[in-house]
Amino acid sequence: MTVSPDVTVAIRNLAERVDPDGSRTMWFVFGSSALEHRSPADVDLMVVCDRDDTADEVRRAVDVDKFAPLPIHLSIFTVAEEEEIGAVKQREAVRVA
Amino acid sequence: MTADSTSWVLEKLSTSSSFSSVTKVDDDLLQVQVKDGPAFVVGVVSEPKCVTKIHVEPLFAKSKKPSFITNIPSSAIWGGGAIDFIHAAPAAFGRVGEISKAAKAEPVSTYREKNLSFYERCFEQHSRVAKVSRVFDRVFLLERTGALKPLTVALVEAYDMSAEDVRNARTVYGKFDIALKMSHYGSVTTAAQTAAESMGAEAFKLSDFLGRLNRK
Repeated sequence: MTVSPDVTVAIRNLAERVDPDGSRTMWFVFGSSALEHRSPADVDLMVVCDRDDTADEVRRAVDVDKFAPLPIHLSIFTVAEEEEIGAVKQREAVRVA
Repeated sequence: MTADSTSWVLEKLSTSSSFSSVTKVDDDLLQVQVKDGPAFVVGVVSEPKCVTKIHVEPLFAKSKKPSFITNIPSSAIWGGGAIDFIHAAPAAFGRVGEISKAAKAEPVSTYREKNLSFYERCFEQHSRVAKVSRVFDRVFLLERTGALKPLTVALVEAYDMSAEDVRNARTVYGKFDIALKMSHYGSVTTAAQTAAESMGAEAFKLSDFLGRLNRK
């Protein structure tokens, strides 16, 4: 799976703002919407966080209406939740930050 | 503020291949000409938090009646009174991105978001539900038959519902009894169930929730 460069850059900028040293969050895109060779209408974004308060911080930081270049569908999990449901593997998610 | 929002919506709709022209006919009204179809009027509201009846009522007092109402920002929620008023007008409501979909409805005023309509119909058709009313766009009050107490249900748009989804629904919509995942697939995490319990609520996917409606 190849992720559109525009989407990748926008998400990395967002991730850097929320978690500058990248120690608390992992950012993934998934689904056909982020494929480079298509024209997606939105981005399926999944953020896996170390703790509940980090998850809440991510929600507050991400303005789904103002994200460039496309609207976001946002899923936020803790590491424990991701391990329970296997969302990264199940959704064939690609880590971008 | 509304005039700015109206211009922003005009700009967005002008890029759509579904429409041949979009014209501002008032500070808060746009006339949209559908390619090979009838024109309709979109009303624009600018409420940052919650759209209520008093925000939408003036739009219908003008000479050109809107068939669709949208709000900027789209993150704001819609109160049940506003929704009931819009539907009775009759008109539809939704995000800017839904206007192209609404344009395909005949007439535009009958457009309803498919997923929300599905859940509303499920509630209405349940044998233990006597009455369904809208509290907010994604929150329904289900009055049940007999001695069963009413339940306030918040719909959560998630494939897998997490604890954060439940907390966010509470932040956005306030108290509810049930957080219901809006997808037939995926799961509700253990942490989501725990988060719901910590607020005196429960978290379900639809198949489990339909059974829950039969219980106290």
